Amino acid sequence: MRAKLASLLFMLAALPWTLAAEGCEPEPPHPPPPPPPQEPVILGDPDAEAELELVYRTVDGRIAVLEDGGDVPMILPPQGGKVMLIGVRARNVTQQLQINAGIRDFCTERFIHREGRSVRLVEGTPLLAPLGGLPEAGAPGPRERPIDVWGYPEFSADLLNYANIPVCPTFTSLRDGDDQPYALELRATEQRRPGEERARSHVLTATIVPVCAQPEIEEDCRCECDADFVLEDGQGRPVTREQQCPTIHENDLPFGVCPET
Amino acid sequence: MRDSTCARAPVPAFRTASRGFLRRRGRGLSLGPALGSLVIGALALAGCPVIEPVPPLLLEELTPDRGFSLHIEPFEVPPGVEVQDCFFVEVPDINDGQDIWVDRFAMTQRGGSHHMNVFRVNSILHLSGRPGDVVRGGECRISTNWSDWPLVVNSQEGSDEQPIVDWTLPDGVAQRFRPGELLMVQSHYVNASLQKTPGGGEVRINFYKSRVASPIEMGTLFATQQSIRICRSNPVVSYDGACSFPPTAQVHIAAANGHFHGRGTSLQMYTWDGLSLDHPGPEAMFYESLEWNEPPMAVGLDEIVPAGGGVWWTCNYEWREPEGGCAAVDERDDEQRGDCCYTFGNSAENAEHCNVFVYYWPKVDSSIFCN
Repeated sequence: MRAKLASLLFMLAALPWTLAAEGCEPEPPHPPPPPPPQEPVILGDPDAEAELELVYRTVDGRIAVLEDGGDVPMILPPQGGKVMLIGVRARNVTQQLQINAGIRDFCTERFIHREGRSVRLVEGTPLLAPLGGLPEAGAPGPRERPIDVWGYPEFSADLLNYANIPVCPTFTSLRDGDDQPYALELRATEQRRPGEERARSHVLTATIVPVCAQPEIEEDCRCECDADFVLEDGQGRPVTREQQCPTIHENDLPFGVCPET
Repeated sequence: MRDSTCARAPVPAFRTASRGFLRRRGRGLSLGPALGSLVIGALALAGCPVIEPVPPLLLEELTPDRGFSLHIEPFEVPPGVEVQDCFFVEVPDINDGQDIWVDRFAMTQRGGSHHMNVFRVNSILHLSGRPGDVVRGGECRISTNWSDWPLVVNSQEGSDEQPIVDWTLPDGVAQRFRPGELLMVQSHYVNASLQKTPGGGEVRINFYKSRVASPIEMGTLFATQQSIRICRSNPVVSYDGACSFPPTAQVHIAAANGHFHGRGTSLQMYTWDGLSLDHPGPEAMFYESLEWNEPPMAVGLDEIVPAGGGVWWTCNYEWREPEGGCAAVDERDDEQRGDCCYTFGNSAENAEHCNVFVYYWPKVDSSIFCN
């Protein structure tokens, strides 16, 4: 009994050393290869012409169809700043799309920001209703579903299936990032279909007006989106929000007017 | 993954070390006047154990006429732990109250370092500190806390074979520091299945004073994409972004590096004209990393960004089975889809990153914030 206890104590005493010693750890198992790429799933009729429309994520996590000339809300993303979440609803396209979207300043004809990502659409979601993600197990597959149903960004409340287009702060635009019109361009590239040499690509454009729409951060958003907003002065000294926000809107330009250069 | 709280460190054989050159000033630690050295006794102050014996991490101590040195003392990185701590330091006055221009950085870290970033402290959200303070884990892991803090310098070198990153900026180019300016040094070490830290952590940085009378100021660009997801059901994905300079700026890119984790297959950076959404061609590529654990730091570049343009980056991923199974990965996924999706996060084992660090000159009026 005493010998067993001594042995146990010895093992316990040695445990930290065992954990700490690099050479004593077993080699990690070689990870298995990833699953092979799957043949693309088509949402709707694979032989019909593709239909796509711009959508955006609302502040409360729903989806809205984007109207040309309309407002688009900006939100505070985890990485800071303010972004618009722009996506597509589509049918007769592959479920998986690569989207690439940016906004262009009318005054300079240059994109001030852009973003690209792989997104997945899911079918049958009513507009402006929270999405539930993937179909439940046992639900009819995409081929059996009515083809007049659009595919919408999966996980509508999440930021993942939209282009996260940064707008504020912007050090590139000559105008405020909010309450001014910008040109939106989005390219959606399908997965390459069997027998095709190139993947199909679709271009969507619209004029949009980014707006600060989260009530709890509206003032901060409007300050950060001002064309005069800076992080530092010309000497490298930090400039705080308290220092610049109270007077930052005094020289704001009228809607749609470019500054004199 | 456990947190880095030293009270949990299960290694009783370590002893508490107290180095003789630690100096307290007021509430924190500051410049040692004789050596011009900022010394942070990371765990020693908190009564945490330090690994012994510790082979010395060699980097010369700078005297004030040559610059200033920063030392984060050896600290423990126990098996199975990722340590990410934020050290707040004050730029010493080594120039009679005048700005200090730095045109060379030398950085060294013990093997196993995942990253080391230095930022200038700006807007305070939930992370702050006075000179000498250390924030362990917690808010030091939440990147929104330093989203508008301008990058100073970073290093991802943590190999014993090439321990010192010695980077001299282009001729006549330097970074500006103000005496008393608050910097934050963020050190991330991993001692788990994907990365090993057998000898504990330690960081030394030397800031060498420029001799040029009127240097051109260097600026930095830090970008991070956080809405990313790499899933078993959709194993090959890419995310990319772009960030522009002001329309009148004519900037040269001098150095760059990128950061992703173990599912990343490559990260490229390109100059971008800002006129088109077309992916830049290979001739515009100025940086590529194929190594997640030791990404290269490209220096000696002189890439001219087209006026009104900027930088375009692409992060490519391929899903792979987690070494420890999917449970920890799934647990982090807000969507709780059970699809073994890696999402953005600090953990090198269970999360992913797409971060870009670019050094350019001349600096534009305000630091570039890319979100």
